[in-house]
Amino acid sequence: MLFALVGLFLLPIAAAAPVGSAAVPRATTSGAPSVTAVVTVEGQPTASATGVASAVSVSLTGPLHVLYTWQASGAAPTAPVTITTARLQLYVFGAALNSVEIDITNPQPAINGTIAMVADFTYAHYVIGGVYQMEATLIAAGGVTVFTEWFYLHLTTPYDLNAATVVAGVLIVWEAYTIAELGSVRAVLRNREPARPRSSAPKEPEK
Amino acid sequence: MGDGTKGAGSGGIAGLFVVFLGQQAGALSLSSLGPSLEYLVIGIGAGAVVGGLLGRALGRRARKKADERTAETTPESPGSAAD
Repeated sequence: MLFALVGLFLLPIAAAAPVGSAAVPRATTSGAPSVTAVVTVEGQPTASATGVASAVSVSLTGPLHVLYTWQASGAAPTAPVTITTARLQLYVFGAALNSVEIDITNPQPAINGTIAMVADFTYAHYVIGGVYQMEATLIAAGGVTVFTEWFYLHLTTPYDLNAATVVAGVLIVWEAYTIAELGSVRAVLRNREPARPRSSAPKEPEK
Repeated sequence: MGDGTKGAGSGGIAGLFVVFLGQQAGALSLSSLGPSLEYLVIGIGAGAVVGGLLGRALGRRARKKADERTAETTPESPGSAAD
């Protein structure tokens, strides 16, 4: 049962790519246009959220407002960049569990710009509380990823309670009770009693 | 199945769910595959060891008490009483 439980969680992610541990913004393709960006979630900058302890804390009671403020960088004169897509991904066990994407309508080459995104995870608020690693990405024309940032997000629910915590708590208490019951004298004596026959008296054959 | 084995099984499952509870409470993150597996293995292993030891100790104590209680309630045989 234990292996089945672990397998249940690991099965969908067997083919997933590993997640980068660094939360440092980086341009991913050499020769591609270079972009630096500041990403904020509910007004809080994500650049310093490089670990679980420094995760950006936001409430899961409503949709998240994410803002990308980007600027083309590189040797002067700076070449304009055509940003076509902004993406935000939530990772669990190394796999992108949820992806929110905005395709810019009629994208134009520019030196800088801002992209506002609304990421709604409230539909899964029964199970999705806690700290998650996020990936914010900007994609330029031609599908080239020009900016990537990894950061940690603490999605909070009231009192950190949701269905998943309640189920986990109940199961922990149940297993602790199972261990405690091993010390019950009454249970030991009950197990030592000889098995009783199910029927009290055999039926007499009818004449 | 022995008390130690039963305790180890229950402790392992409890350890697994302690890890999930810690993630939900914001104490640790299960986003990256490698660290997540480490957390799960450590949780299951530590839970199994603690549960196994507890189960074994509690089971032994309960059996000892049950033996004592059985000896107290069992009547002495008539032959031995006559002597």
